[in-house]
Amino acid sequence: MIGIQSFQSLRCPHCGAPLPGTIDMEVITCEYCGVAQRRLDIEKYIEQLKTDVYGWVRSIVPAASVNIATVDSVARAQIFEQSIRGEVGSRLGSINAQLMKIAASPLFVPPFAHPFSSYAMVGAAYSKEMLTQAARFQGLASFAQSDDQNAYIGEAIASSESLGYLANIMGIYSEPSERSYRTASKNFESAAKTFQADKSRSGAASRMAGLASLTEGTALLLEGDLTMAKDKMMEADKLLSAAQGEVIRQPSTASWYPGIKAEKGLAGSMTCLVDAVQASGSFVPNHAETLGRFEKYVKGFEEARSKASGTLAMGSRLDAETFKDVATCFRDVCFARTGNPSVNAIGTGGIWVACWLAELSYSFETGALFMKKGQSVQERFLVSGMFEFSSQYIATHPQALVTDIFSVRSESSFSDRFMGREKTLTTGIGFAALGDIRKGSLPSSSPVVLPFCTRLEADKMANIYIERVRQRMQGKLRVGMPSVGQIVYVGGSVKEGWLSVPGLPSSMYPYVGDEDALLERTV
Amino acid sequence: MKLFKEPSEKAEIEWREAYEKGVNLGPQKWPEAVRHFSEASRHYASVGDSQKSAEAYALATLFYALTNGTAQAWDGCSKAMSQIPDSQLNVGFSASSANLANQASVLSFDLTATSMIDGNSQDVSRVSALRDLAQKYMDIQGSDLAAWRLQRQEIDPQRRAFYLLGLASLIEANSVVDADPKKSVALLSEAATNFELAGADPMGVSSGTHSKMENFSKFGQCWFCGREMQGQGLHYVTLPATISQYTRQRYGSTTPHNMEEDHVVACESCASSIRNVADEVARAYYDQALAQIRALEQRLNSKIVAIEREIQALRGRVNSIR
Repeated sequence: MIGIQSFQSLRCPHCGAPLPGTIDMEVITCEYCGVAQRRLDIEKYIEQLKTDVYGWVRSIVPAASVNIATVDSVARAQIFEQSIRGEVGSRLGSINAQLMKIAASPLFVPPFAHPFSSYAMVGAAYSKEMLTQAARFQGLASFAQSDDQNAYIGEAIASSESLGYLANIMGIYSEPSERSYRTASKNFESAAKTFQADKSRSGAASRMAGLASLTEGTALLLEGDLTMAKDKMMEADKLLSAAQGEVIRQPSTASWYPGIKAEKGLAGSMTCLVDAVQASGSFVPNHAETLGRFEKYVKGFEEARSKASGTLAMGSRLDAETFKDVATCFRDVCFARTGNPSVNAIGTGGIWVACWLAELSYSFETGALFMKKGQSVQERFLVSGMFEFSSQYIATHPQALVTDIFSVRSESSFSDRFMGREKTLTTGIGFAALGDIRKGSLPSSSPVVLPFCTRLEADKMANIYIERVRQRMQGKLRVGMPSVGQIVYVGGSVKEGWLSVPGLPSSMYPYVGDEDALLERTV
Repeated sequence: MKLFKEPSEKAEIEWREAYEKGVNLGPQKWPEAVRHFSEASRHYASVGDSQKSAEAYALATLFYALTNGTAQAWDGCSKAMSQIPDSQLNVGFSASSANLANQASVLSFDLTATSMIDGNSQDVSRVSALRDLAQKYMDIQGSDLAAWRLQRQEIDPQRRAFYLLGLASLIEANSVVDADPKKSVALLSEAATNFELAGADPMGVSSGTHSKMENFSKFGQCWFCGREMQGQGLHYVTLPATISQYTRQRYGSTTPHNMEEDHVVACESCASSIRNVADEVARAYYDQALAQIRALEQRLNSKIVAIEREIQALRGRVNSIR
């Protein structure tokens, strides 16, 4: 049988991927899953695979046509239509559906982070199953005669093979020990080659090639080769941009678009990380030290998110957008510590703590009868970047986790309230104190606490706080939608867990937790 | 003392009142905001402050779209927002005008592209519009979704995009099933996966997609002509038949199947031909029965007339005896 001839080469018994057949060694390590195998076991597996493929082909096509060399091309085409198309189609449908589901999410997991929650995990055995299935489809390829038949079996082979490689990658990402990004890159490279043969999915090929570059770049970054790493990241960005444009025009891969968009963002995040490592060269001894600090930050972020997941319903894992924020903050602080004015900063002091600045436009009803009107006020307040570590207070004492601008009320007389002359419910002190925040640098000797929450989480926290204020004021506050925008590094001191903010009274200080625990979190 | 206010003062008063009497008092007062912003825009224009006039007009169209909710209203809002340079607008909170322009355009496009669509739509002209709209939703993922925040709606643009991609595939599948059931099944499979990724099914088309996919992927061999057909319910049907044990044993195990319990498979050509012949036979029987009924009616009518005459005669005799 012609199809079986393609299995004269060796294949990995663990994942089903091709092995370098020419290597004359007793033990061969698979480049796709990293598992070392005895040559004896590999040969045994190949025999088993041949029997399996032969048996499968025999179960589908008429017995007399198994030896395809004796069957003419018209008969082959007929056999393909009558016996093969339906059988392949029933499997291809579920393979393509699985591929769509997996590829709709980003297929890159950055270093030190757990696989994202959107990541569709499949078992390690799935890779072998899919690559074996691809081998079976290969066994039927010689029956395809027309362009349509060749394209059909080609699609089946491409889908099952690439799904096999992606399953291998998922196995690598879920490894609790150090991930081999180089092995992941090899799998992406092969998936790209597989898709290149399928013209209707050229966007898929570009995406896989982009991911191969991104994972290769990550491996280089972890090894400390920053120049090459950056080149690879840029190459990844270009390929992923091309993929993004192509997939949306190819209906079978249109649902891949958000996954690619997220991967493009992740390529940008990895470039940020390269820049951060480069910048930190002036104040840390080597790249490993900077990456170690970044790892600590990522793990801390995951811990914070996991603590607050019950209250904020954000899940306990990072996602591509969050990783982008994490990498950007880390880079900005690395730059700021080299003297670049790259962060927003206020105050001076022994410790710098990140907070989110919220702009609040609230309105309240004042006046009675025909003098009734809605008055609007602009305010500013800070949300502690550490608030998720104090998750117990989010629902019970939200005002403790922000600079509570409503803790000091403006004074107004009864006649002001009756005549509608009340101008504000707050004193405006928050607006004044936080009104002049400028870009600055951070001293390289002081500890810095990066934010452990995203803008969206801070936004939720700000909304919880405003909702509590609204309840406290029994409906007087009409509209108040805080909008969280930028991170501010507040330089000062921490007294009994409260962060002093310059220009604000102590009753407005936000709670950031015990100072020792805070110092543990500095990077 | 001034008796009449200057247009610039009037503009500022209208602008302020748009917030005090409209925006700041919540959605039920937004029509007031529309009125005041429109007036402010008119006054600013009359004093030559075209930028402020355009800003007020854009805000008027935004609050009009929020209260009205039609595709045209959102389109108007998008155009008005695009006319002003990107800036932060106070809409009850701070929002970027460029973001609002883009989101209003998405909402308008969505209302147009998805109107009058159901699970059986075959209008292929909608397919590319739905795919374009899906891309627009994917592109706004991650930005501040101010237009939805104002409507107090939670939206996941990515999921909405998957749903629209599913709808596009479903319409395409419906349009090709007559000519190419194979392609239709592949498209239905794509649609089903996209609906699954979308999670919610606001138009209730997901379960129908699954049953279509199941039916259209089935093959049957026509009992009458022996041709193989794909697409149950469309390219082949099953007809009730008396199937003996012998027939079942001898011919019942073909692939693809040619019988199902007490039914045989008939391709649509054979089935429609049988139906047409059966209709003709039925019509002939109907005509024959109708002719017989009419003949009977005539016979009965003549008898009734005779009986009526006899009754009349008897009545005359009875009267004469009296």
